[in-house]
Amino acid sequence: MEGIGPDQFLQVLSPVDQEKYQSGLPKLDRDDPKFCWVFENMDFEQWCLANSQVLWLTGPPECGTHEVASHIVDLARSQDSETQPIVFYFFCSTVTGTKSIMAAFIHALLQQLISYSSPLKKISVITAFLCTLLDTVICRDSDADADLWRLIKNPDCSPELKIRKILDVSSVNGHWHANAIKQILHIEQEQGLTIIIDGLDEAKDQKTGFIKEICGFITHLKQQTCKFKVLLTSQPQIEIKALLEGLSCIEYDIERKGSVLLCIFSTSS
Amino acid sequence: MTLKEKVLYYCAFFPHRADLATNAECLNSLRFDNTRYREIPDAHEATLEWLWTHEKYRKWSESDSSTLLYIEGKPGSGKSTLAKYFKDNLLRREPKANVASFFYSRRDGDRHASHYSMLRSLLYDILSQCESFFPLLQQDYRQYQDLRPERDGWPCFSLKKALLSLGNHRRVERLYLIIDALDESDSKDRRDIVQLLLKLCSTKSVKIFVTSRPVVELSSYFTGSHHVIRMQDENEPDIRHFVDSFIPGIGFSESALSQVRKYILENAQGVFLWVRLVKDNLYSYTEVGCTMSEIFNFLRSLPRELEGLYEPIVQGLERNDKDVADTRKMLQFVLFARRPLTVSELQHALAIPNDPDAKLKHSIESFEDNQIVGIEKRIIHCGGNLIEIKGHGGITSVQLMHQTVREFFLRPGVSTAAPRLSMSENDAHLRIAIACIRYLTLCSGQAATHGAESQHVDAWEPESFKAYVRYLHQRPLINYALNHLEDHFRKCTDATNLSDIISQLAGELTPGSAPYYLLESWITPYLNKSPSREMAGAAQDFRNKILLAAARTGYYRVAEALLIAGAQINIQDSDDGSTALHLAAKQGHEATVRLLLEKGANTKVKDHDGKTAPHRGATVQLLLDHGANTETRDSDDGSTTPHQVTEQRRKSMIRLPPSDEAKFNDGIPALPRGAKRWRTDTVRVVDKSH
Repeated sequence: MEGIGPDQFLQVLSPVDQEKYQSGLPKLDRDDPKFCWVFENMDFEQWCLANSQVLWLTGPPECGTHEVASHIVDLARSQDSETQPIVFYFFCSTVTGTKSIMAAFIHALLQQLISYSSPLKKISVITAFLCTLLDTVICRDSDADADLWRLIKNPDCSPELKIRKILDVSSVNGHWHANAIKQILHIEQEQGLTIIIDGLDEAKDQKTGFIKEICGFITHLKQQTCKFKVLLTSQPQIEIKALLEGLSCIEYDIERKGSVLLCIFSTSS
Repeated sequence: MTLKEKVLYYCAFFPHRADLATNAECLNSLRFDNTRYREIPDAHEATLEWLWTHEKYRKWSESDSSTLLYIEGKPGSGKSTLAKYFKDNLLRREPKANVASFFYSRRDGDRHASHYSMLRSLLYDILSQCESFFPLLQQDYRQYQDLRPERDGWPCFSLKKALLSLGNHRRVERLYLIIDALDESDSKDRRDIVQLLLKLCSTKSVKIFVTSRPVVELSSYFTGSHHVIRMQDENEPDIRHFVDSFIPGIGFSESALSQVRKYILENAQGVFLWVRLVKDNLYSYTEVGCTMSEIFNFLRSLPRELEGLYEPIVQGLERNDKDVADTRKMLQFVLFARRPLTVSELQHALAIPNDPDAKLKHSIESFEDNQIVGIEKRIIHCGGNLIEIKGHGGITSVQLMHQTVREFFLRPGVSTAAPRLSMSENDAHLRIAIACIRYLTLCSGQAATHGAESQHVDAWEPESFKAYVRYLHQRPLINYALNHLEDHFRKCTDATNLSDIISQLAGELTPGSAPYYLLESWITPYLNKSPSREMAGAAQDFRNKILLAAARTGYYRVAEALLIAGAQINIQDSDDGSTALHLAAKQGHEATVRLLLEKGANTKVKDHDGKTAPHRGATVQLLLDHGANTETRDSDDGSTTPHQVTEQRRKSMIRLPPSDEAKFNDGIPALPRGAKRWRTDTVRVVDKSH
C-alpha cells in the first residue's frame, strides 16, 4: 500500500457508484397506498424495530420494489447519528453484464465502507482487504501464483498496477472477494450494519451463485456481528423462492388474496 | 392443506410477469355470492335520481366526518331498489370510491339474514378491491389463516374487529358501506351490529348507507345526529312518473284516465309495490272489456293497503280442490323451506304425497305420473303472481314476490280471507319433512331397478354404477332432503309421528339394496337392529363407488348428495388409485372439481401412476385456485402442470396464467414457440392454432 492513497485505490477499484444511482431513482410518497404493502406491513414494522433481522421483499415490477429499496436506504441513513448504523446498499441493476456480480457487490460495499471510515482506518481497511485477497489467490491458484509474485516484487511496477493485477486475478471468483470483505467487516460491529440489496433477479444467469454467496455472507454476519439488518428485494421467481426459503418475507399482495379467500370459504359462524 | 399453503400455491402461477389485472380476474372468479342483490328489480327509468340532490344526502355525502344515512321506508316503497340504484351508480359519480355492500334477505334463507354473511361480504368487497386496507387486518388474518376455512371459518368477533379497524385507515378515497334491509337481518345480535356501525361512524370518513323498514329498535339508534330519509316522503314524483308510463296502456281517453291517475296517486301513500299491483289488476280487469265507470268502481274496490291487495289475490287462488292442494304445497315449500327451491326441485316436491296420515304404499311409477308437465305455468297459475320464478346464472329458483307476501301468509288473517290456504308453521315443517323422507326412500328405494340388472349391488357391473348415478341425477330433491331434513325435523313439535314414519319407511328398505346402502348412515338410528359391521362397510364402499362414478360423469349434485350421505371424499379407486378429484379433473368437470375442493378434497393424493389431480386435470385453474402444487413433476415425462395445459389443449384452460419457468425433462420449455410470454391471450391463441 506504500505510495497509494484511498482515492487512488478506489480509482483502481472503480466500483459502480451506488449513491449516484440511488439518488437518481424517483422518490416515493410513503403515504401512497401503492406502497402500503411494505410500509404498513407488520413484518416490515418488526424489521425496522429489530436489532438483527433479514427481510426479503418480493413482488412484480409494478409494485415498485426499486423505489421501496431506495426509500429504505434514505430511511436508514437519516437515523439519528448516534444510533445510525453503517448502511451498505447495492442495486443489482447497476452491474448487469458484469463478469462477477459478487465482485461488483463487494467493491461497492468496500467503497461505502471506506467512505464511512476515518482517514486512518481507510488505509487499514484497504490493506486488510488486499492482503486477504492476495493470500487467497496465492493459496488457491497456483498458475496465478508465479506471475503475481513476479509483478508484486518488481520495484518498477506501480502500486496501481499491482492492485489492479490482484483484483483482476481474483475477480474470476467473486467468492474470494466475499471472503476478503468478511475478514474486515467485523471491525465495525459495534456500530451495527444495515445492508440493502435490490433486484436479486437482475443478476440474470449469475442469480443462483450470487444469491448463494449473499446467503453465505448473511450467515457470516450472524456469526460475527451482533447488530445487523439485511433487506433483499427481487421479483417472485420460483428459483429465488427456493434459495431464500426460510427467510422472513413480504410477498406483494399474497396475504390479501388469502384473506379474500378466507372471506369466501368461511362457512361457519 | 392450510389456507396459507393454498394461497402460496395459488400465487405460484402469478410470478413477476402476471399483471395486476390477471390477479384481479382470478379473485373475481371466486366471488362472494350475495344472491339477493341480483334479484332486486332495477329502478324504473328516470326514477330515484332525486337522491343525489336530496338535502339529507348531500349533507351526509359532503360531510368530512363519518355519518350514517338511514333510509327508512314502508314495505314496498322501493328501499332495496334504491340501495341497488345507489350501489350501481355511485362509482360513476365517484370512480375512486371503495364500495362494499350486503343485501339482507330472509326469503333467501338463513344464510342471507345472517350477520356473519354480512361481515364476510363487506370484508370481501373491501379486500378484493383495495389493497391498502389489508395491513389493518393482517394481524387478525394471520391468527386465523391456518384454520381449515370450510370447517372453522373466520370467527365472527374477529370479522367485527377487522371491520371496525377500517375506520382507522389513512385512505385517500372514501369507503362506502351499503347495507340493505337491516330489518330482515337476524334479530339475534342485531343490536351488536348496529352498535358496530355506529362505532365505525365515530372514527373517520366511512360513509354508511342503511335501509330498513320503520323498526323502533333501529329508528331510535339512527335518528339524532344521523341523516334520515323517509322513502314515502320522497318517492311521490317517481310514482307519478311510473303511473304516467302505464296509464295510457289501459286504452281510454286522456280525460277519462285522469281520474284513474288522480285516484292512484292520492292513495299510493308512497308504496310503489301497491301501485304495481294496482296496475296488474287494472290490466287484467280491462283485458275482457269494460266501461270507464266499471274501471273506476273496480279501482275504488281495491284495498288501499298493500296486504289488503293480497287478500283478493289469495281468495282467487281458492279455485278448485286440485289447485288448492298444489297451491298449499307450493306455499309450504316457498314459505318454510330452508332455502329457495329450484323449479325442478319444486316439481319433484309437488309430486310426493306429504299427508302424514296417508298409509298408501307409493311407487316410483305413481311418483313419475304425479309430476307436473309445464311446471313453470303451474307455478304462475297457482301462485297468482305472489310466487315468482327468479333466475340467474342458469339456475331458477321459486320465491315469493316480496317479503310482505311472506308476512301476509304468516299472519292469522289468512285463515279468514282464504281458509283453505291457511297453514301452521308446525304443520308445514312436518309435511316438508315427510315429503323429504318419502322422496329419499321412494326415489332411492326403487332406483336399483332402473338401469341396474340386479337389486343387490354386489352383482353390479361398472355400468350399473353409472346408470345409478344418472338416475340419482334425475332426482334433484335428494340434496335438499339429505341436507335439510334434520332442520325440518327439529322444527316439528310432534316429532314422534315423524320418527314412526321414518322407522316404517326405513324398515321397507331391503338390506343390501342400493337405497339401503345409500341411506345406511342416515337410517341406522331408526332401525330396530343396527346393521352388522360387514353391512356398514359394504354400504360405505357402495357410497364411495357412487361418488367416484359421479365425479367421473360430472354430476356434481349427485357427488354433493353422496358426500352428505357419508361418502369419503379422498377415497381412491381400487383399480388405479384415482380419487374423485382426479376423475373430475381429468374429465374437465369444473363444477365437480370446485365442489370437491370446497369440501376439502386433498390435492396431494397420488394415483397408482404417481400423478396428482393437477397432473390429471384439465381444470387446472381451479385446482391452482385451491392450492394444488404446481411444482410437482409428472412421473412420466417430468412435465409440470402447464404442460398438461398445452398438451390437452382444452378450451377450459384459457384462464390459466402458466409459468414460463416450467420445462420438460429434455430442457424444452413449455412456452410454445413464438409466444413471447404466457398470458391469457397467448394461451387462447395457442388453443386456436391447434
